[in-house]
Amino acid sequence: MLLVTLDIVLRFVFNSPLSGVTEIVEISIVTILYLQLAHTLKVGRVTRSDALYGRILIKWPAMGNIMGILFHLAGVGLMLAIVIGGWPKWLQAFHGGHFVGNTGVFTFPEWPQRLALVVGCTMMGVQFFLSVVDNLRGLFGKPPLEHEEAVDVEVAAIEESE
Amino acid sequence: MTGFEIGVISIIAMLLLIYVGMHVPVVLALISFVGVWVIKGNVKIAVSLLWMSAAKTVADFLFGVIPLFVLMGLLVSTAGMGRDTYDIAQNALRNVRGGLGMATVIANAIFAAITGVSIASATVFTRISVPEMLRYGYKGRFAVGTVAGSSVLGMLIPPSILLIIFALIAEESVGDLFIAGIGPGVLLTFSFCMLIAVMAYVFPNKVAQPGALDQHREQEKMPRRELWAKTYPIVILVLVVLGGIYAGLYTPTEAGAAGAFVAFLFALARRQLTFRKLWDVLVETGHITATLLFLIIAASMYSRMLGISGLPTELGRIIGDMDASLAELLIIYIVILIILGTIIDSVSIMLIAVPLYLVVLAPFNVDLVWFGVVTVIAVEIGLLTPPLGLAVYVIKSTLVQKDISLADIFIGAAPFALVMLFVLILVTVFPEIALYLVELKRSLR
Amino acid sequence: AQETIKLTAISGYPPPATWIGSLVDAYLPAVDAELAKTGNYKIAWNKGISGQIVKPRGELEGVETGLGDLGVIVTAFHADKVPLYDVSFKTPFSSNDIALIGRTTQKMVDTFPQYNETWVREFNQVPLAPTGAVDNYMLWSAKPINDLGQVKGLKVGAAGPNLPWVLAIGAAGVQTNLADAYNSLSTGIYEAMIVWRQGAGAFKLCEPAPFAFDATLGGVNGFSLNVNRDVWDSLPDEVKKALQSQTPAWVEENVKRVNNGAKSGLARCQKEFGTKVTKASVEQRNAWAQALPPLGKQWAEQRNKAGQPGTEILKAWMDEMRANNQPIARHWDRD
Ligand code: NA
Ligand code: NA
Repeated sequence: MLLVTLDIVLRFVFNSPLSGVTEIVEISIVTILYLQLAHTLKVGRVTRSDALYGRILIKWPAMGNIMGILFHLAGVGLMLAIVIGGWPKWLQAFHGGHFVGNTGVFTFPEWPQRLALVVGCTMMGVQFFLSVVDNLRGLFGKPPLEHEEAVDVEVAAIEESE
Repeated sequence: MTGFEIGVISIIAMLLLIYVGMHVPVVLALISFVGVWVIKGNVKIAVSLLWMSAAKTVADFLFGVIPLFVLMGLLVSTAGMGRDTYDIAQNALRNVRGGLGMATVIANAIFAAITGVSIASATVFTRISVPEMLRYGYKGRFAVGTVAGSSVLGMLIPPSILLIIFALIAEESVGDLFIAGIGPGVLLTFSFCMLIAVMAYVFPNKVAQPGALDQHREQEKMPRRELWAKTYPIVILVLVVLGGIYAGLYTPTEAGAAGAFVAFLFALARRQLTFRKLWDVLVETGHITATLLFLIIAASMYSRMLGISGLPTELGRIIGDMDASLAELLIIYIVILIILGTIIDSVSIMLIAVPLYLVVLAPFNVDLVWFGVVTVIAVEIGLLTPPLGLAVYVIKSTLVQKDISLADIFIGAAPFALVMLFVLILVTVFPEIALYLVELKRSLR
Repeated sequence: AQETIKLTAISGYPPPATWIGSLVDAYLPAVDAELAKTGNYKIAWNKGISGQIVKPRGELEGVETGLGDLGVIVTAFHADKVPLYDVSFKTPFSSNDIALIGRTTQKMVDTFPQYNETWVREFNQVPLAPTGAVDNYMLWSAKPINDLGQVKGLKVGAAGPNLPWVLAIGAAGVQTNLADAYNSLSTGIYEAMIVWRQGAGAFKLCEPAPFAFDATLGGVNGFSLNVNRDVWDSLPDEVKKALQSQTPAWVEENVKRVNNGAKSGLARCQKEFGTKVTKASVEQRNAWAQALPPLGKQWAEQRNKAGQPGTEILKAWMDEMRANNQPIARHWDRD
């Protein structure tokens, strides 16, 4: 936000636009996304339709937990696939000196965002795996591992203003 | 297997897995992975599909608009401006049955002139208007449905990403398309308000808690001073964002950053922003953004898989071989867009369908600006239809009230999707709705 | 008996893009016709264009990983991965002849094995042919420009590789793309833009910017038609030969479309928006060319450092331009 605003201001006040804002925004989106992803899953914010699943978990916990194990194992597998696909690509970008932007204007190496993808998907895979562990524990009547509640700004704001 | 078979099987699998509760992005990724593996008989290519989509889909300046508008929405509500908007709307429409619902629609239409993507409208108004509508006794399903329905205005009233993309494909002027979006946008806003009025009179129990709608009439008028104090920050924000775009200070994408910055200043000035709260806002922005982008990436995996299956090429061949009249072709077109809209994201649909149809329509000499508006409305219906309705998913991931389910939002949005279909038919039958202003501009030249 | 081979062609761009329109309308049918002569093989094409399978700029990795069997790579976007194709961007003010630019690129590919080696070794694909992208860049503006001095301090939009051209003459360069251009020019985010005639006409950029300043900046090469290496190795020789021998159909149709687009684009601008083209004088053109940093030399030295024959390619390129009597304003290899 600050960067883009700064670009606008510089462009008009000083008539000298920042170079590379476009590239920086592109890089940051990918990087921030993958470094956030696992936490998003941890706090239960990845989109799902849990009405039926929730009811099954309450009524038939064993069946619900087995379903959960399958769901989350699929997540582990897919993340593994992305990591397998992404590992050689970040090394390629690193050794090949690939960059984004234009020579003589602004350039930034490509490998950090490629590495962020690999790291982020690894963490996401681990998080899916922890969910498998939770379902396994649930299957044997044990409570899940620690859970963090999502911080809710909106609720906090409304409560405080009342 | 043909593209059609793969398309049909994958839709059934998708519906089933989403319904039993698998994470939606995981469902899409899994189906795409298996699909490509089956089609190509090569697991390495399936792995590549996942990686390519993960690395390439959102690495685009355009997507920068999402975190920026999410941030703006959260800061606006932290500053209490969301609540103010609703107090004002409630005050203005306090004698109208269902007035708060209409206020959501109208506020969305105004906001649409700021943003070019419906996702931004949906996030901002989920945070701003859903809590307020609930506070005034409206039903959850109606509240989220209204937000979902009216969020489509974001991409019909200019600026609009979809109109820009159409302009790129059809080589039409972005300016003309923007102007052509105004008429249908206003008509749709009006139709949504009518829908709410009809619902409030005919099915009051679906709209609000018993008695809630009548109780509004007894509310007192807000004092002038208070009204002013609540109005001016919103006016300033709209001026900064809108004025900036139209006065040529910055692009629509950059407007998100400027708006967020101004909202930040207001939150500071109102002493609503502690460091702790700012941190929470940033974390929340990260969560919403990551959720949405993950979904968009997974949706892109699926549409790429369909591309590899050859479904769009097959469709193109079939339509090309038919010897149909213009009316028949348009009906087929709209039906295809709406069907594709249930499972593919708007931008991909346009990129697939529009070039195909430009060839088909070439002999008929239709006005492509009008065709662009028809396309955008048809494609936007898909934002509200299951199983993949992006506006609905956005609302679900932004929503604080966990007792409102995905199904509730889809059901709540259904009447709005029907009204869109009605407006779409009107615009198709009466092109003047879109073209009047454009022709006015052309004649001035 | 006839054998059917399934091949998927990919691009992030739709058919109105000249390099894709010519692929779909000219090249694929030409390959089909060639194969039909013997009838041994038939290709069932899946036209995965318009971003169905890869987004714009994703074609290189799409063909590399096998998501597509064949694709058009926009080499202009991959200066980091295939920098040898960049030589045309580093030698402006040399040629308006897009056919010659394409042919010369083909000549470089044939003469210097490093072109092929990069594709095959690093990116798992086999290049069939390159073709040109732009015939002649011009400076389009809202107010008339008759003199280079007027560009000083002007906000000028340009795609990344063109930015150094305007920065050198004192413009405030704004990096941009065709999608944003109309809006940005109408609202004054920038007051002028570097674009070619077909682009100016197709996107009606001449409505907000009806004045064109033509300093014969020249054209550039932009595309390479490539096949995934694993797929290539698995194809029967007859099919390989058909794919290879029909590339002129693609190249020539693309050149034709770019040139026709330039003509009709300018005609549209003149008719609808009264566009006026101002030709730069020879002195102005030379002054602009001299104001630039030694782009060619800088590029060549960088390539030399990376172990590629930068100096030789630059010289071979300029030799080719000289041999064809092109209007060269600066001999980039002699800086
Ligand atoms: Na809009
Ligand atoms: Na949908």
